[in-house]
Amino acid sequence: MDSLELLLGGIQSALTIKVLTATLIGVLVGLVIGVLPGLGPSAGVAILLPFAVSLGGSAAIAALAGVYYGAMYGGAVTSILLGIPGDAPSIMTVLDGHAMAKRGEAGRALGITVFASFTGGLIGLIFLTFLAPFISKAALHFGTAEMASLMLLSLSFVAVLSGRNIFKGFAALCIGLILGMVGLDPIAGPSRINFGIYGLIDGLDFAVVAIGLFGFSEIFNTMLNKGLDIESPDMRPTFRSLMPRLSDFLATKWSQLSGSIIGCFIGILPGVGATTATIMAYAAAKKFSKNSDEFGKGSIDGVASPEAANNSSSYSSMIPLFTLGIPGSATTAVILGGLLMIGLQPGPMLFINNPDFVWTVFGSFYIGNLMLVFITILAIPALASIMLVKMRILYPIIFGIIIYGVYSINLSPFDIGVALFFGLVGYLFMKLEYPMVPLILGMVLGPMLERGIRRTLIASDGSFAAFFDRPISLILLLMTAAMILIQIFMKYREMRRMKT
Amino acid sequence: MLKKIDFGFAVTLLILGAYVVLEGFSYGIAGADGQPGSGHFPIAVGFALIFFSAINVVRSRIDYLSMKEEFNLLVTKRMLLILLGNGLIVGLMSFLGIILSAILSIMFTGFVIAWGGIDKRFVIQLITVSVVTTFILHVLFVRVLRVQPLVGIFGF
Repeated sequence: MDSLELLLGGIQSALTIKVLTATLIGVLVGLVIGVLPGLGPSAGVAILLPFAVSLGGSAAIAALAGVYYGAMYGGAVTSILLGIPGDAPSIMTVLDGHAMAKRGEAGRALGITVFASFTGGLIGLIFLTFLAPFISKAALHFGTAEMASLMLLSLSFVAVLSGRNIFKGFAALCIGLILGMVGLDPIAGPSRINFGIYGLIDGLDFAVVAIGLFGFSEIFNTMLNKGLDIESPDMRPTFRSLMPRLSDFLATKWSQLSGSIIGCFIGILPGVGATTATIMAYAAAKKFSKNSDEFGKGSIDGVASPEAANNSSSYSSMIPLFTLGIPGSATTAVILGGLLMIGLQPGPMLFINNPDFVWTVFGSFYIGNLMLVFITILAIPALASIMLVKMRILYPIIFGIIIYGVYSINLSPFDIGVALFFGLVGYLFMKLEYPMVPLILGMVLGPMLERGIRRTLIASDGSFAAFFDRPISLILLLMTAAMILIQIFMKYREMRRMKT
Repeated sequence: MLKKIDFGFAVTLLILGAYVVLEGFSYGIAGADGQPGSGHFPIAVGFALIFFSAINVVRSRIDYLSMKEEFNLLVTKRMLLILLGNGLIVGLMSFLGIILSAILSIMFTGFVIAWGGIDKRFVIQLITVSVVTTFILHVLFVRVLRVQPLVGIFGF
C-alpha cells in the first residue's frame, strides 16, 4: 500500500505545468524520432539531453523517458506504413503490420498498436512501481565494496552486450573507462588523460559524447549508407481509418497480456533489450494462437503482441536503472547520464534521499503513457506525413538542433567539435562492429567504480581482501566472473561450430 | 578496405592504451599515504586496452570473422566531407556567431547529402529551411531557455 500512496502523490506532483509540458515535449519528440527510419530511442534521448537537463529535476527525466517510450511507439508507424522498422525492436511489427497495410488495413494495424502500447506500458509501469522499492530496500545494505562489486558486475554485462566479438566489446569498455577518467581525478584532484588539450582539463561531458556517438553516427549511417529519400508510402490512410477499434482490442487481449508480461521480464535483464522481448512475444503469440498460420500474413495478434512487449520492456528496463544505478541498454545509459547531470545518483539511496523526485518521475510515466494514447490517435496522420519529408531536408535540420543543443550544455563551440569527433568514432564503431553500449557503460560507471575501489582500499588500508570478506560483495564478484566465463565459453563454442 | 581500417583502428587503440599506461605512471600508482594513487586505475585500464586491442589486431589479420558489409568509399567520403565542413564552421563559430554557423551548417549538410541531385527548387527549399529552423531554435534556446548566445563579428 505504501507504493500506491507514494505513487498517487507522485502523480499529483507530476500534474504540474512544468512536468506535464516536459512529458508532452518528450513524447512528441520521441514519436517523431521513432518515425524517422534509422533513428532509435537512444539517439532521440541523446539529442534531447541538453534541452531536458536545462529543465532540471523530475521534468528533465520525464522528458527523457517521454522520448524513450514515444520513440518505441513511433518505430511502429514506419514499420506498418513503409515496411521499414523505425528501430530494431520494431522489426517484428513489420511482418504482420505491413502485410495488413498492404491489404488496406493500415488504420487497424496502427490502431491496435496504440492499444497494445498502452496495455504494455501500463503493465510495465505496475511492475516498475511495485518492484522498484522492494529491490532498492534490499540494496540499502550495500557498502562501498558491494557497490564497487556491483559496478563490476554491471560492466561484465559487456560480455552480453558485445554482439559476436567479445574482445571488441571489452576494448570499447576500456575506451569508455578512459573517457570517464578524462579530467579531474575524483579523489586526489589532478587533471588526467587530457591529451594536452586545454578544453579537456575539466573532463568530457557525457551528453556531448552521447550525442556524437548515438545522434551523429546514426544520422551518418542512415542518410549516407541507404541513400534514403523515402517517397510516398504505398498507401495513405485517412484520419478516420486510423481510429483504433475496441473490437480489435478485445480480440487481441491475450496476445497483449502475454506480450506485456514477457516484455516486463526481459526488460529487467540488463543487456537483453526490447528486440529480444518483441521476438519472444511474437513467438509466444504465434505458438498459442488458434490461427498461427495467419502470422506473417497480416495477423492482428502479430502486431499486438510485439508492440505490447516493446513498451512494457521500456518501463521495466528502468527498474535496474533506478534501484541499482545499472543501465541495461543504450537508452537507459543515456538517461543515467541525464540523472547524473542533474545532480542525482541513481541507486537505492535515491529512494531514501529523493523520494519526491522518484515518485514524481514514476507518476509522470503513468501520465505520459496515457498521453501517448491521445497524442498518437491525433498525430498519426501528421506522423505519417513526416515520412514524406525528404531525408536531405530532415537530417540537416537535426544537425541544427544538435549544434544548438550541444552548445547550450557548456556554452562552448569546442563541445560541438567533440560531438562531431565522436560522430566519426560512432560511425567507425558501427562499421567495424565495435558495440557502443559498453563504451557508454564504461564512461558512466567508470568514475563510480574507481571511486568505490579506491575508497574501499583506503578504508581497508590497501587490502583487496575487503572485497572478498563481505558476503554480498563476494557473491557479486563470483557472478561477475561467471558472467564473463560463461560468455567466453559460449563464444568459443559458437566459433568452433562456425569453423566446422 | 574494411579489414585494413579494422586493423588500423585496433592499432590506434593499442597506442591509446600505451599512452594511458604511460600517463598513469606519471600520476603515480600509490599516493603519499600508500593508498592507490591517481595513476592506479588508468594503468589497469590502459593495460586492459592494450591486451584486448592486441587480440583485435591479430583477429583483423587472420580474418576468421568476416565483416558484414564493405565500406562504400563514396559514402565515406561524403561523411568525411560533412564532418570536415562542419568542423570548419564550428572552428569559425567565434567569428560567425551561432546563428550564422547553424544556418551554414544546415545548408552545407543538406547540399552534401543531396550532392548529385541539387536543383533550383531544392536550393530555395534548403535556404528557407535553414533560416526558419535556426530562427526557431534561437528563440527556443535563447529566449525561452535563457542560453547565452555566441555573438559573432557581424553583431548577431
